[in-house]
Amino acid sequence: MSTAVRHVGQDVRRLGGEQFVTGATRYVADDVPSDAAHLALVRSTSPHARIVAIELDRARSAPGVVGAFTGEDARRLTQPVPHFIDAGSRGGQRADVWCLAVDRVRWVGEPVAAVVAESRRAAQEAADLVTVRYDELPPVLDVDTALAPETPPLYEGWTGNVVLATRMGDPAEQLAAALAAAPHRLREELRIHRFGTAPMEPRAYLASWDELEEPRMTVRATTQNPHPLREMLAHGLGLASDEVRVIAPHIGGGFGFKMPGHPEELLVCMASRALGRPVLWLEERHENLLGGGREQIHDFEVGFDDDGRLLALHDRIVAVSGAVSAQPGWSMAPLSSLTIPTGYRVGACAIELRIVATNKPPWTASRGYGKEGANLLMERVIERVARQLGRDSADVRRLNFVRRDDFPFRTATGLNLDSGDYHHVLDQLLELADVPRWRALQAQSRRTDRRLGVGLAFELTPEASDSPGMMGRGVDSATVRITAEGRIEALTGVTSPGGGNETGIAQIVADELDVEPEDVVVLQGDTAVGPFGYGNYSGRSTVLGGNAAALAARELRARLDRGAVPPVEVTREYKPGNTSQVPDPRGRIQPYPTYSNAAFAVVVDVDAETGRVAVLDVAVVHDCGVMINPALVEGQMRGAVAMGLGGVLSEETVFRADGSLASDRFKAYLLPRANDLPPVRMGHHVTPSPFTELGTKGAGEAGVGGAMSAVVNAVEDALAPEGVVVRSLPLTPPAVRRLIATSESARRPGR
Amino acid sequence: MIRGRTTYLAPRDRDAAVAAMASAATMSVAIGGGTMVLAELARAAAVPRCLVDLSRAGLSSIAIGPEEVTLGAMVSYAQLIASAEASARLPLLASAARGITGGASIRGQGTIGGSACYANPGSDMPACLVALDARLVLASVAGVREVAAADFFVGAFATLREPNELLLELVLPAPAAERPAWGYEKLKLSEGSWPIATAACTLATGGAGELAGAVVVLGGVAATPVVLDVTDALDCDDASGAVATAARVAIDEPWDDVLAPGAYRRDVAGAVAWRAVRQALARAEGGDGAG
Repeated sequence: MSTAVRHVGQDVRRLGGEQFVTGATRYVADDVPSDAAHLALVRSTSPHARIVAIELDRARSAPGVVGAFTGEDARRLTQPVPHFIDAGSRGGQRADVWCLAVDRVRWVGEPVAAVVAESRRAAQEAADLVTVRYDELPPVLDVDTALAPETPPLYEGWTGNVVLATRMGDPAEQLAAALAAAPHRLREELRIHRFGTAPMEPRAYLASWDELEEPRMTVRATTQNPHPLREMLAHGLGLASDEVRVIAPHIGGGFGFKMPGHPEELLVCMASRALGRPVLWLEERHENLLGGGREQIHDFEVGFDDDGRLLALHDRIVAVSGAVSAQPGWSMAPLSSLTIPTGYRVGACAIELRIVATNKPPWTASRGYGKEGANLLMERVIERVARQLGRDSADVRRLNFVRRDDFPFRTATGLNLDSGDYHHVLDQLLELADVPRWRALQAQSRRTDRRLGVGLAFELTPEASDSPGMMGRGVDSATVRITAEGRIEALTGVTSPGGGNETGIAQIVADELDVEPEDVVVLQGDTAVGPFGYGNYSGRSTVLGGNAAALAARELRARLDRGAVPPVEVTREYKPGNTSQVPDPRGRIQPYPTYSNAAFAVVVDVDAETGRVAVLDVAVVHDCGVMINPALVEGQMRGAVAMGLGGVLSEETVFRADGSLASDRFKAYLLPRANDLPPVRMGHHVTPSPFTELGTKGAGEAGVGGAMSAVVNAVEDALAPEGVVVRSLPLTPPAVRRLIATSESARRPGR
Repeated sequence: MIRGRTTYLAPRDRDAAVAAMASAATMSVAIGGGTMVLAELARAAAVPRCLVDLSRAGLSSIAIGPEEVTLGAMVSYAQLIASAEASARLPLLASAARGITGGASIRGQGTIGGSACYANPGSDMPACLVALDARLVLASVAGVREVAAADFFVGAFATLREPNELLLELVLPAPAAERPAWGYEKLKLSEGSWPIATAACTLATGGAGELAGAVVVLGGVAATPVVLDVTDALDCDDASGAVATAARVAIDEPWDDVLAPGAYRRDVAGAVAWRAVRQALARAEGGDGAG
């Protein structure tokens, strides 16, 4: 018997939301046992050196110190940190990463030693007493040095410093022929800078070892992925999985940054086991800002016809991923390749990617996960082609979009785009954005110092990954039970990083059981309580966890209808359709079930005298299939747009010449604040996914690349009279002034 | 993480505060609102031997006289803004105070005197105080002295204040009868950014209301405030160009930090200066300066 859909599709207010806004939520740092010891890190001050000696005696004899560790201890007490995604499994070069550096340091900030003491302050003060003697090695701080043939490899046994080199897309002869035959060709560079995610809550790990308890190791962690972290810690500690319990309480933002593979996760466990007491590590903001990601250099060539039809696209990407890490940062770059050419039909398309290691901090996974790079590239291609031909870029997009009747559509890299109506989404956006009104204002503004600009972007976001060779898979599970007392519980293998998917899951279960969402208790994030799952990343939580909960609740309802008496419990696994890990004859796999799409219009006001860009308006039309809770979907999009605007206009991970982090606080790493952001006006179009149970698609990552692209296009539009072409990000005021200065001088020979 | 052993003193009056500074002269730091120093302690950029917290020292009065306004060293931005009389007499300073980065929490906590003593090139107060001909009253156990703001700032994060001296108050000339036109322009990279370039413009008028002098003081662009007399520049046909050129020429060594290179600060200084002048000219003609 089926029930009416009463809650799915409604803006149900977030369950338990009041605990977040009133500060009642308990985070890892709020629940620390009184006998916990505190761990502080000694981090490398050298970008590249051999460790000659680590002097721990002064630290060991400092007040309150209970233990001190170096890489030698790590080698003795642990295995290397397991890679969340191992480059070796993808045909690249791999390296072991220990929770404390062994023999050699490769970035400023790399953990070298750890001091554990009775208080956080005592630990930090003692850590300050540790001296490390380094034998300096030539640092490799930029990509040219990294790739120079005379530069020795940064890791033993490596050939050069390329972590992974891939080629995707159409065969070389086909691409060459299509380029040669194209009436117009354009070759240009696009540089994307390094920036990160800066979640409100920094990381925190609390490990409690108890020889006599079962499980013996209990870890409370700011993690998006409790079960994968459990497996990784068990491996690192030489324990069985069931000897480790990971609890992930509420976290204050994840954005990929809190995926596992950080050395401190294993380190606190090692220290706790060695010392026989709980050990806590709390990340400081300067440590939190060390990573970042996304830095790419695209060298692209596009062939097109008189109408702007894309006949050929060749992109060569160099991704500069820093030192090797077990966290899945570096592996964002292949997603840039894979996602090109997004939602456009391109005659022939090929992408060559090289991921390059340097002596900078390793990338950390960052929302957008490389897809933002693909969308930026494609939206620049469209914009440049339109400008070259003097055509409206919206028309060029329409001409090249995958059409509604083309779905499912296989791209050159093997993605099988599920469904959508890109033309409709763009048309709906243009109506929402009221571009003609802005164009009229723009015409007036050009008579003054102000420069208004309107920028459009389309964005395709593959989500809910099912990729081989990693600690996560495209499947997840949920348990729905009704207890003897009539309490309804939904337990999921997916977790919430703060976006509110637990409310959506409660809505889904409530509809299946014909109860209210408040009647459903959603439990997530404890490996001792919930079913096995892979947690939160890749916009997967509602696509997989929500659909798994729907199947489990439906089965539970059916059993109750057949006369079952509580307690009744059902666990179901869910895997959407549309993915394939079996390579096709061209070697392509299809790792994403769903492809949300969105269109963006951004209006900027560029102060040509100072280079400052003010964002006046952002309009978005988003199609992520069936929405469980539109308000929460919009919350995700608004957050992603803010992240994109910050990323393109002010956020930049900056290093000094010695490789140390200069942007180590929020006065130097400039997040957007409320006054930097206009209201984001949103519209929706719903094309249900034919490959998921409820018709949902991912809705967690879309927006970063779209917002960035639209801003870039808007700034370029604003400065069209100056002849500006944007070839690198970010567009900070100094960068915009340089753009204006170089384009003006380029147009005035003799100056 | 705040670390190290620091003595904390919270003197209850002005004499005790002066004595505290004397007793702890080496490595002692006085804090007003603490908006800069506490953040430095937290990231271990400073480990002072002694913290002298002035919040109970009774230095937060505003005295309005016929010729001057005197602000105690502990007067916060919010306090100045909230005082209708002081704001009316010191409209430039009040305008700058309203625009302090960090919102109500920083404006309520941060002090004008603290900002002066911290002397961050990327901050509003040093150039404003120079533009207003402020005098800083410094006290030590040896006595009290006054230093003109124009002399006080000697480098980035460096002033004429001796380590054992305490800023007691700021004296700002503000004759009740005169209301010189003013303009204040600030450029930031984003809302959260420290000022990159600021310009405080004051116009002096003669007896008949004619323009007698125009001065712009630039902040953020060099280690210390840069004073420009733009009286003659305003007589040029291309006044904006002349002001801009004067600004660029006056900056010998532009300030350079992680937020913006020196070349950029020099590049934009002229535009920022002219905007402040334009505001002041508009006010002189009875406008609100917003044009």
